[in-house]
Amino acid sequence: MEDERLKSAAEAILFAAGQSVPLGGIAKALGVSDKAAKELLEELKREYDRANRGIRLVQMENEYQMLSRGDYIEYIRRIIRGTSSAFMSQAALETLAIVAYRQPVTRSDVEFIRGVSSSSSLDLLIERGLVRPGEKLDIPGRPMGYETTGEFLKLMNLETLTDLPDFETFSEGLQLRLGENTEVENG
Amino acid sequence: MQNVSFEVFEGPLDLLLSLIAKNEIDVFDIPMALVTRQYMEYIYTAGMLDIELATEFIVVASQLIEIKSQMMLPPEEDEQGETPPDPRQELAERIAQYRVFKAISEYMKNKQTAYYSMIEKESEYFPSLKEEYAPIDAAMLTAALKRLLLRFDTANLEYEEYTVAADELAVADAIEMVREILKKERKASFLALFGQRPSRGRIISVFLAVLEMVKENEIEITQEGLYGDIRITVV
Repeated sequence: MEDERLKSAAEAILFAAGQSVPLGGIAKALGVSDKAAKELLEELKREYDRANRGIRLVQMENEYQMLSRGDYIEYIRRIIRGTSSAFMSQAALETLAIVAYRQPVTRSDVEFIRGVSSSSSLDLLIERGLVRPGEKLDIPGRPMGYETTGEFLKLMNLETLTDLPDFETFSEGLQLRLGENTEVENG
Repeated sequence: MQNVSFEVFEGPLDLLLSLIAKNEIDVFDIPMALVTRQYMEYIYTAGMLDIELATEFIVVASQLIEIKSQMMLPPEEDEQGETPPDPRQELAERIAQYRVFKAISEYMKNKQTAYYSMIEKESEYFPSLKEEYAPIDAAMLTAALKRLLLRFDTANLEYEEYTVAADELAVADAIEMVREILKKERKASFLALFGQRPSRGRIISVFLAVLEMVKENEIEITQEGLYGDIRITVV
């Protein structure tokens, strides 16, 4: 009974906050351990999923957030205007891919990999909350290292960054090895 | 940055990748003469109106020509009798790496539809939600200003008659006002600086005053998480 009450309390907190709430914060508010709070939230998440409720609980690393379930977006759009989505440009997506797999990465590394100036793409990703400046890197010039955010996990539908598919998954099928099937030409 | 010719390619590596695909060649065995010729043809026909982009394409063009010329010379063996690496290798690795990232970007592109189908509620301001105040940047300040203008609904006023009022609060006066507030407590809430129902002009003056004082290293601003209130502290 007490668990039911605490689970509902967690639900109320998430609704009231709107933004993502750290697990530790919820645990503190409920007066239980992080582990116990996590169990309650997982249970709540399963309940929402099982009934295909209009709301789902999304976990990003150690934070939780209440979001509307994607299945019902058409209904939402019929009544609430201004929910249109702004899809990202190819340049922004390439930049995001590089930050995701090379983080923490500097601006100039992104530009070298893409072969073009990428400042505006990076700024756009920061503005959208998908990328954030992290720590200054311990290399000459102490450049800023950029990394992905919880919002990025939401985009990828992942709970933690370690769930990101391996880089190698994408290079499979692409011919990559020099020298295996080619001979060096002399002009 | 609107240049019709360049809409297709994200940059020189993208162009090279497309030439490689079109000619069905191995990234690590690029026929330099063919690819360099096609690359240069593209640069000439494209017209290169965008100087910055053109520079990036030309840098790679010069690399292509350098590699091509290196390959015309017979490879010289070094003291250990080893042949030097293929002059194309470095570029080939860059193209191959770029190709993987392009594949990843396709994958991410397909995630967007589901992502934009989830709606979140506008966040509430809960000071206790995030434990620590973090340093903030220009983007977060802009977001704070936007929320402020929305909160006081000045963005949605309809002006039938437009009168330009004299500055009710000059930035210099606003700075004095903020100093006055900070005198008592040495720290203040950003939102609290604006008072009840401020005019748009007042919001902007106070906002500029805060920026100016940060610039002069008089105060420090921190924010607790996204959308949180901003705390102003005397340095």
